[in-house]
Amino acid sequence: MKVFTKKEEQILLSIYHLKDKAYLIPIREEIKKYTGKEYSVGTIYAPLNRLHVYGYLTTYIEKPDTATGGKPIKYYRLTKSGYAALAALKKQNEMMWEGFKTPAFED
Amino acid sequence: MEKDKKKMPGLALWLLRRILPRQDYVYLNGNFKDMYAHRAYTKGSFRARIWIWGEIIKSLPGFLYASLYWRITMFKNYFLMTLRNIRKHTLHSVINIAGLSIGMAVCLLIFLWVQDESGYDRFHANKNEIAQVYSEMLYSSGDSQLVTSSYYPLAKILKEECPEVREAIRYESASGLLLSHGEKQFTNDAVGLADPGFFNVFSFSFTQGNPDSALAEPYSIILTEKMAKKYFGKEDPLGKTITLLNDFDLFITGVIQDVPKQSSFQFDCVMPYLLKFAPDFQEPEHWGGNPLNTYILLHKDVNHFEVEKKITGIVEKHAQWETAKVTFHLHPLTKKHLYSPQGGGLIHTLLIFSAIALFVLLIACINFTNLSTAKAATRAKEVGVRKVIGARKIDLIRQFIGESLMISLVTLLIAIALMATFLPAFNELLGKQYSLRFLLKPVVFLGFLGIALFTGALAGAYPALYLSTFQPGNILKGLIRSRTKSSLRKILVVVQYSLTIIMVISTVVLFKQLGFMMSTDLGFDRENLVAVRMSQRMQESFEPFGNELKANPQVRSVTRSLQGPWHIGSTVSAVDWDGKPPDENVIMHWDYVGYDYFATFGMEIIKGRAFSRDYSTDQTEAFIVNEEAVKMMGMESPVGKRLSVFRNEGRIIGVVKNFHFQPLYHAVKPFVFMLRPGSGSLAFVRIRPENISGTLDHITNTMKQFDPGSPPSPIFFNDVLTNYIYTTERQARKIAGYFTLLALLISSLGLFGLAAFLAEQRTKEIGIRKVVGASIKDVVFMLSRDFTKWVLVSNVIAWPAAYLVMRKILERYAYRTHVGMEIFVLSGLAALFIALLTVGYQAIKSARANPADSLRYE
Repeated sequence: MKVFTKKEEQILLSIYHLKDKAYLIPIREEIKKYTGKEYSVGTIYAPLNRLHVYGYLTTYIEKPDTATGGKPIKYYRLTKSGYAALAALKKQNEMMWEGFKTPAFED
Repeated sequence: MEKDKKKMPGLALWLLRRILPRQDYVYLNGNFKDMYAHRAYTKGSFRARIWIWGEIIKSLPGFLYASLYWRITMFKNYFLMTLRNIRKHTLHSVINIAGLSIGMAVCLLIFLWVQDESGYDRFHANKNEIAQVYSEMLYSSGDSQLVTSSYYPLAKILKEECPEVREAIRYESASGLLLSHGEKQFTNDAVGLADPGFFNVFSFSFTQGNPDSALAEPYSIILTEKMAKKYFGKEDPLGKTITLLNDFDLFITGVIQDVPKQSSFQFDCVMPYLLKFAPDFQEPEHWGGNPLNTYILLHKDVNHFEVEKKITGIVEKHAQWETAKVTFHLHPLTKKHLYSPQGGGLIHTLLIFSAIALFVLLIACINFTNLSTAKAATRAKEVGVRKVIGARKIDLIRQFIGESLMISLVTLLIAIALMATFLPAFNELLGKQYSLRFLLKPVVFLGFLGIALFTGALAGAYPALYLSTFQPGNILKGLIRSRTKSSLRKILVVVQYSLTIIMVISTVVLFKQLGFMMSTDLGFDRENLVAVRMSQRMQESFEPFGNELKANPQVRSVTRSLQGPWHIGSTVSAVDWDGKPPDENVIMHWDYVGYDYFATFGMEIIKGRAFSRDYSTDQTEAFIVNEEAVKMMGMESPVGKRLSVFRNEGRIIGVVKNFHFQPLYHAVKPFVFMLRPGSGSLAFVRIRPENISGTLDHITNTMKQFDPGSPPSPIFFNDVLTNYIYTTERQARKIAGYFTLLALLISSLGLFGLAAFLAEQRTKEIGIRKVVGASIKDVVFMLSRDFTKWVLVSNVIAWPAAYLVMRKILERYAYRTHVGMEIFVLSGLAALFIALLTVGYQAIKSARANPADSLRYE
């Protein structure tokens, strides 16, 4: 299985959380919500596009309505292999985090 | 208002359109607009503006990566394929890369040279408005002569009377003058003599002093930093004095930075021109030619042609020339270094070498093209598979061009290494100081890169077009085989060999001409003749200096003259004799010489006598002319006839056999000698051929004795010719010689690769022929027949072309070496021999192979 970068992992999880409201701006906001880090649009777009190329994500276009100011929006959604990848990732992480606790420090 | 506030700045929108990946442009653009509008609404448009710019800059790498994603993937693949192909076909790759890097290294060297030479005199702020004024004499005989030396009153009159001229100055260079400050005495500083406006016309930067008033005082001097350091060390030189010829104290009024290398003017110090007429400063008003140059600074956008006409008119009013009609011309400063007013100049040499370098590169590119198309079959499957998967023709062209570009970039590195190896030799030959540090100059760096890309494109263009046309169906069915008889390949080999043969013949002609010039009879004995440039002190005490020299029994005789007969350019038109047609304008070349001149040079006096100490009148009213002058004057018995030169009346006392007093570019012209034992800065010493180094030591010691301040060393007449007069020829011969060898090497390499490939393709044919009964000789003949034919055809093409090139080369020489048919035939045969040698090796190797081996498999 491919090893994801932290950013890719964050993006995949954000899309998972956002359900069917996942496009670039909310994804960015979502990552900021969890990590406090604000990525620029370009730094999000590049891994997002890559994940799409690898087939972890599909996209669909929502036609504009008046609420969005008349601009089409490209939404992202996890594919089957996207879910599988996340599941594997979760398993990996759990295995690696298994039994973690902070030891007591003297000072 | 609300709406405008939310709109993104136009520049940001434009930039986004450039950088956003095409496939998602619409959505990303929308996202940006939304976010911007949101920010503008909540935080104000100023904050939003700052935000959008920060966002664009931060996003740039991500977007670039996303846009180029597929290209990067494909590039990795192409790169891998290139490396694999280089490794798989080692022989071809080595030949290609070796040939290309040699060709490129040659081009790099020449480029370095050309860009340096074409950058002369560009540092002057007014470079486009400065011009040198030169004149052209038109004689009634229809002859004309360009004169770059100028006239004393010209600058002053131009400045006063020609409104287009902002400033006009005289400049003359001098050397060997004794300059001193206290204990420190030197005679080896290059001196410039210039009118006060000099530093307003030319931009030499002052570190101390004021350029406007620097030369205003007649007893002043401007030093370069180098010279200031030499005389004053760390002291402040300003206001101190330098003594000229132990006579005049010159006040230092300024210090300038050292003169840049890329300057036509080279001097260590500048003095006022008026010093020439010290101490009474009576400027001569006559309009006779003198070895000074006049430069003018024009107003902006002035038509040179108009100014030339105006100057001609102005001077005509002042100077009553009876002997010739004189017109004036301008030579722009920016052209001074490369073009000489007489036509030709350094530019010719540069053009010739650029052409030769391009030839060598072209020959290397032909190798690349030939070998690539020849082994096309090995790439055909790859092309087929790529096409089936969906590569378009343009993708394949891109791939193959990219491949050759990649190779050429790698080659560039090798070429730079090669160039660095040969740079010291090149420097020595041209007397330059180029180093790899030049690579830091953007012009050079970009130029090198340009040469590499040009080479890659040139070499890869045809293979790319050729390979990309393969039909996938045919390839994958195995229908395509590389055509062994490609007409293009034939043509290219012929072109390659024609170029090589032309280069060989031209080089041989160059060698022969220089050999001819160095061995032909000049009308005097040039062997064992030593020239000494005398400093002021030696000139002043020439009699004792000469006697001291002659104290050595190896010194046969000593004389002096104003000019050396390697190039005597001074002419006189004020010539008169009895029976001269009144309207005839003539010119004679002339020189002031000392006693024993003809004996020292070994010139033959065919009528009359040489100058002699026995006749006191010889110094004032005796002339010796050459045969050409006698012919021009139409005298039956010239000795004793009246002659007047420079309005000095006198008689012809002797006629000297014609001799060459100029490089062999020029025909021998009328010449007149005058005796001036007290003037002339050149001494000529005739020595015996025994113990030459001992004699030279004696001369050097004598010079030291008369002037301890490091005077220049004595030099052989022949060395003057090779080092200073025929420099271009000497350089051309060496460079052309090496480049021709390289061209031969590269074309042989290419032929070798081609022969190897063709022999490999015909392995089976050879096997069958041998089984059926062909001898090794038959097979070798069969394999080399084609190549022989090509080289012979190349000869047929190259000979007429080489003949034209040769004519062009020899055109500038009035005296030419004889070039017979044998040079052409021999050069052609040499090319054929080398070609057969390369092909023959392959042919014999294939012919000797055991047919059983080649026929066994399958």
